[in-house]
This record gives sequence, structure tokens and C-alpha cells, in this order.
Amino acid sequence: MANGLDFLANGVVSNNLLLFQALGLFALTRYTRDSLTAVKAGLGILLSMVTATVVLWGVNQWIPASFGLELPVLLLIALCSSFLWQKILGGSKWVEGFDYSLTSGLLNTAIVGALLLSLNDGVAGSALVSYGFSAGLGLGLALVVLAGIRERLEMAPVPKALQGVPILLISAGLLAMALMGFRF
Amino acid sequence: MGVVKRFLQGIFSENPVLFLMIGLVPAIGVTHLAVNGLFVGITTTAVVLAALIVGLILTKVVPNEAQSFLYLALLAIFTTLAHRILVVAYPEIVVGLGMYFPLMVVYGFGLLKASLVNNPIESVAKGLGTGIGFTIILTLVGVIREFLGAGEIFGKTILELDMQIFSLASTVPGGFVILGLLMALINAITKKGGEING
Repeated sequence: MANGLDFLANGVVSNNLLLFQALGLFALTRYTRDSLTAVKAGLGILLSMVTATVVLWGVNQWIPASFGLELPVLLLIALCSSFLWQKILGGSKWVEGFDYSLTSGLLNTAIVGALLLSLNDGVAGSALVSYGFSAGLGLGLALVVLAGIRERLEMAPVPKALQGVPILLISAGLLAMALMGFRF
Repeated sequence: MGVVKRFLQGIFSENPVLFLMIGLVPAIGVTHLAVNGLFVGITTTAVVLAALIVGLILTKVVPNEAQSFLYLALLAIFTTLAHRILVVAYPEIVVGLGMYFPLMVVYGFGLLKASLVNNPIESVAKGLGTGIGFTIILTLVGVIREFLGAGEIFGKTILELDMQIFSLASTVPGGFVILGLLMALINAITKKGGEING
């Protein structure tokens, strides 16, 4: 990948973490009940992901290549970045009442997954931050779009068995299939 | 509540994938092959149970506020151990799982938290039930996706067709649709509404 635009196209469309890697599904099922919650969750994840990749950029050269030591370091970075933004956003008026709890921050596979993917893809240096920003933006946009679809579906005559998460997953699948036509 | 009830609760009424919406990442990310679903299910159950048992033993010496971190650290240790052992025994499967294997720490944490109740013995029973319930659903989704996407089940050809029934079932978008439809089917059978708990 040559430049930031490539990262952006990959992160938002062709390798969207939520739609094509099935990461961040905890946020999909919890934070898409309305668009505003989805925007807040997307913002929290985006900021956490950028922070995590900035830290990873700083410590990358000291992480041993073996799986045994790589995982705890990545976990610690993901944990600290999500905890930091939970504290900052939790205290701001704009996100008052938003359940960005420690548990949900910890449970976010998207942040740990993005860090693992960036290392697997050999992304290094400042490109890590572009990678994190694109991945976080892609995930946030997918959450907002799916929240919009979910809001519309609440007014539609959906059979009882399909209501809630089942129809949300099917919608996510169909959205991903539509985006497969735009893979770069 | 008794030990048996807790065990059954983890498999049926509080199945992590179908009703608690925990472990959806591996349920969609790795189940394009049935063997992956079975492998991840069994490994996750073993890792979560090991972390749960050691965590419950250490609970008395660790403050309440730090218990989440204790469980997370234990999960990281046991996942790393499992990786070291299984990459030698089943290299093809472990390499094929890619990042979803180390992610076991994160989705395993959700399963572990769902297993914790007031009584330690009941927690272990529920943890075992939750792990078995998780394994059953991952394997079931894997069997359906592998059959529809490749005409095979556990690598054995069932249908030899020029074009598969639903080729997209092997991809992540297809996984979303198959899991959504399976949840709807279970909801229709159990007469539940489909809304998430909590």
C-alpha cells in the first residue's frame, strides 16, 4: 500500500473491519439502537484505535516477533487506549449517559484485531497511524449506517423471530455483499 | 440454583452466541469451515475453563477492582500456552485461523464474564455449559456454511455441483446472513422475540 488514500479505501470499504473481518460485533449489537449512540461509539472506537496505533508505532521496534510476548503487549496497548478514552469521553457532556464502560472497552475485538492485522500486514512507522485511523473510521461509518438501517427496520413489518439482532446481522451481510463490488 | 441447572443454562437458555450475543466474532470470522468452528469452540472452552478455575482460586488474594485484569491476564497466558501446543499438533488449522486465535483472549473474556455467578462450583459448571453451547453453535454454523459454500462437511464432499448452492456462505458477508437466519430459526422454535438481553 503506497499512501494514505490506499489505507482509507481499504479501511473504509474493501477491508472494513466490521463488514469483512467480522470484528467489533459487540459494538454492532449494543450500540446501533439509534444513530446518535452509533456516532458516539464510532467516535470512541476511532479515537481508541488511533491512540493504540500511535503507541504501537512508538513501541513497535521493541516488541519481540514471537506470539508469546506480542499478544500481552498488544492487549495492554488496546486496554490502556480504550480505558483512556472511556475516562475522557465518559466525563464530557456530549457523551453523557453513554455506556462506554470498561468491560465493553475491553471486549472490543476491533482494536486488538486492528493491531494484530497491522503487524501481520507488515505496516510500520507513521503508516500505522493512517491504518488505525482508516480502520476506526470504517468501523464507525459501518456502525452509523447500520444504526440508520436498524431505525428504519423498526418501522417495517419484520416477523417477530427476525426482530433485533437476526435482521441486523442479515442487513450487515447484505450491506457487505453490496460493498464487495467496490473492493480495491 | 443447582450445578446441573447452571450447566444447562450455559448451553440452552443463556447460550452465548444465540441469546447473549457474545462470541459473534469467531461465529462469523472462522466458521467458513466446520473443523474451524469445532476447533475454536473446544480450544476456547479449555482456555476459559482453565482461566476461570485459576481465577476463582486466586480471587481471595486479589482485590475486587483488579479481578477483570486478573482474568484477562490469565486468558492471555492460557491462550499463549494453547497456541504453543496446538501450532505443533495442528499447524494447518492454527495458521488458517490467523488473528482469530490470539483474539480468543478478548472473546474468551466475554464468555468468562458470562459464566461468573456467586458460587465457584456453579461458575465452573456454567463455564463448561457456556463453552459447550458455544462449541455446538460454532460447529453448526460451520457445517451449514461449508455445505452451502463448498458442498462439503468436515472436508468430505457431499454434493458435487458445478456451481455451489450459496458460494457467498464461505465469505464473512455470507456468515452474517447464515448466522442471522439461524438465530431467527431458533427464535421461531423457542418463541422468543430476537431482541438482545441487556
